[in-house]
Amino acid sequence: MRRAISSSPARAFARSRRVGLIPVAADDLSALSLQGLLDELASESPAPASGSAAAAAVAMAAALVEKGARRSPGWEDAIGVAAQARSIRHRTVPLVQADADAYAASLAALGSGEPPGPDRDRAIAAALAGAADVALEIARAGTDAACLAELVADRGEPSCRDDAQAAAVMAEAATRVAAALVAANLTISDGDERESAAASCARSAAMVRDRMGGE
Amino acid sequence: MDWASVSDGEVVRACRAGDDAAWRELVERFSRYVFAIARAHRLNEADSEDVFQETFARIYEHLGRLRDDDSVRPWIGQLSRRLCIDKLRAAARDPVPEDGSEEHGALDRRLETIDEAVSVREAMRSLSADCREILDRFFCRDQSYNTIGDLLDLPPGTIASRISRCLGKLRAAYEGRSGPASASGEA
Repeated sequence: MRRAISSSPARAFARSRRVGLIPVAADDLSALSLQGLLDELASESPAPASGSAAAAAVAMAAALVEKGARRSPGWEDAIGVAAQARSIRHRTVPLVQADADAYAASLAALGSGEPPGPDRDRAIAAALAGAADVALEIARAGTDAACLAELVADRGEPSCRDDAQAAAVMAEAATRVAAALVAANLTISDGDERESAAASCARSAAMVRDRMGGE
Repeated sequence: MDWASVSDGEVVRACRAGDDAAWRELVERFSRYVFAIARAHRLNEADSEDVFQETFARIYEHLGRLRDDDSVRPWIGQLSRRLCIDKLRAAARDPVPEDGSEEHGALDRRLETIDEAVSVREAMRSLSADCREILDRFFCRDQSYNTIGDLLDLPPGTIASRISRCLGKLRAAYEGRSGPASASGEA
């Protein structure tokens, strides 16, 4: 029997809430089915958006890495790599929701009716910094997932190499997205080290993918 | 004295010899364990505190009866569980299942999780400081390979392999410690 998947607008509305004036579609995006998460990403609400998608992609990449390690019983480090991949997955899944909340908070701060002035500037800067922090966490996790994918591809079962390579490509793409979001959120903060940290993550992930021959 | 590398049995022996610092270490080492057992029995804060006080009072009184010093943890676990059940029965606010009901099974699982966590913590103690630090940074503080690499002055590429080796050591230590154990004391 096919499992019923409900994604009607009425149901989505029933789950809806707001961060400031910005509607955010669900209380816990990570608890949704894949179909439900995709519906939320496709919805008219500004959040969730690319940051949440990047977090989900990192979690999927980590899951593929974990699979590759689990399917490599002859590899001495397999259990340890699987444990690390699982940890990355578990720390990334909550970022799907965290990014949606942070993005909504940024939009709310930017769109608030507060009169221009230092208080409003501080509120906007804080909201954007919060969004940058979440995106940086996604970038870091993406780089870690790519590093682990390389280990699996090099030392795991040869039959797992394709999945490991796919994981590296996904992780690298998500890291690049997250790094761009960090930069976008910090455009008003000159010389913020988080921007260079995120860019460094993106470079590291790209190097891994290049070494693995990913397209 | 650096108690981190001292075994439970050695702490017990030092307590028995009248070492005050060893007694403080014993309380420090097992207080969270006792409170966790109380929480698993859903005791409130005041009752949990009572169980904590009574448990350590009995440990102090009956430490000499412990037949195997290295079995102090299962003994404390058994003692705490018994005191929790006494507390629940006395309060009569939460019937204690007599046999394998779902609630009883859930309680057993919570207690198993606590025991497992304590075993892991004990196994961690046997690792080198470097291993403890790298595992703590990755699994407890959620730090990335780059962050750990910068802090420990190690290339990020080697962090994952090093964590795997440390996990292997932790597993060996855990499996060496978590064999069947039974309470061997009386209180």
